Amino acid sequence: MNTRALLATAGAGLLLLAACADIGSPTRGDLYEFRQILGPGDTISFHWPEDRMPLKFWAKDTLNLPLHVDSAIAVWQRQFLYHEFTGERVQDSADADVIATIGLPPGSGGILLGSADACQAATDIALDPDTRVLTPPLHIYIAPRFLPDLPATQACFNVVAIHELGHALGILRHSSNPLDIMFSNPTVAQPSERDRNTVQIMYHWPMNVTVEP
Amino acid sequence: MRRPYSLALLLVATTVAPAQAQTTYYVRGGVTWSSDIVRDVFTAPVTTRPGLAPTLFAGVDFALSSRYSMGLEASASTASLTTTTPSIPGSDIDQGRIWTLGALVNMSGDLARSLRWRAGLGVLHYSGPSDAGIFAQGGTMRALFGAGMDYQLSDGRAWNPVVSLRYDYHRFVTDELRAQGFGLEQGVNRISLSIGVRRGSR
Repeated sequence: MNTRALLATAGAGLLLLAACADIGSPTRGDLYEFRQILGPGDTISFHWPEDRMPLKFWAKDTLNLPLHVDSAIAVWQRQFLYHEFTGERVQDSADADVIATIGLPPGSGGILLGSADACQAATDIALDPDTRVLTPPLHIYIAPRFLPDLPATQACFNVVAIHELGHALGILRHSSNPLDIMFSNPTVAQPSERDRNTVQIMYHWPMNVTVEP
Repeated sequence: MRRPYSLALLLVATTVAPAQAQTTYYVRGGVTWSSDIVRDVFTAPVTTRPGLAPTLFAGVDFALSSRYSMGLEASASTASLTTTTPSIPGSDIDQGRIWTLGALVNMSGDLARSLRWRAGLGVLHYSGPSDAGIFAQGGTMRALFGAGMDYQLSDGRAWNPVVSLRYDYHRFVTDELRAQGFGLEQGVNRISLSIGVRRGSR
């Protein structure tokens, strides 16, 4: 075989490879509404911008709350394909974008409530619907219904921590499907494919909220 | 007793000496450019591409005839990986650092006095951050087609300088991409330019 024939063979092989179809992205069509709907054609879309990453979380050091927050951060990070969300826990609440504490929220405005069998939780998103300005830090409240050291209570903390972090990431509503972690009374332990599709789309959706520094 | 050893030594010497004369080794360093390794669509197209990658090459060629050689070339590179939404300025998301290790079995031959062509098949292994993202379920090994040219800047020394241009093609996918519903694979073109030295001359 001479040089010309070798080069021609290599070229033909290359053309065959190049003719193959490229990667096809998933449809991600199975998702739920994540925007806050104020009225017909009037919605609020929010997600943390890239320059806020890694998002800073502070958790009160009681009832294993830091462990549950760490676990929830890791769970949500794994739902993203391109590191759109990364989080870390900080030692000083003054540095935090999201603060997680034990207890019930002091008010009711802008609060998304969630509850499970052994605990209840809420996320207070300081978002002004008129100015569309979000003022960090966001507050997550988790409260036991029974003895906090019971395994059922700790398991519940784990689930609601994931659920409330979902709100803190920008899911401003609840899913209507009980198989989703963002169902108002979450019973599943991990985000579903619908939860994953929702946060992935949400972090590429144009937002109309300004985050205060 | 000395005679068998002397004979064996003579046999080894006569066998190895011509082989050594027709075997060349080389090392080079350079940079590799890559096209997108993932193309996705959310509300707008999103692309993921490695940055310019510092690359090391090392290889050996065995002469098959006066014009052709067969060889093995290994390469190692590292690059940043960035995801971008081209329609949104400043939307770059840093994906961390990826590493590639490649091995290419290739044929080479003379094009001109100091210019040689090269083409071959091999494998390319990617690894990257496994905490999350496209490498969350680990790296990936891909089949590789490569071709290129080597230009030897001088001849006759023990180590001769050489400049190389390489092109290669592979199809990229990871287990995590498949798990998230991606179909088929992404065709990836890479071009590298490198400079180094070659021991032995042709």
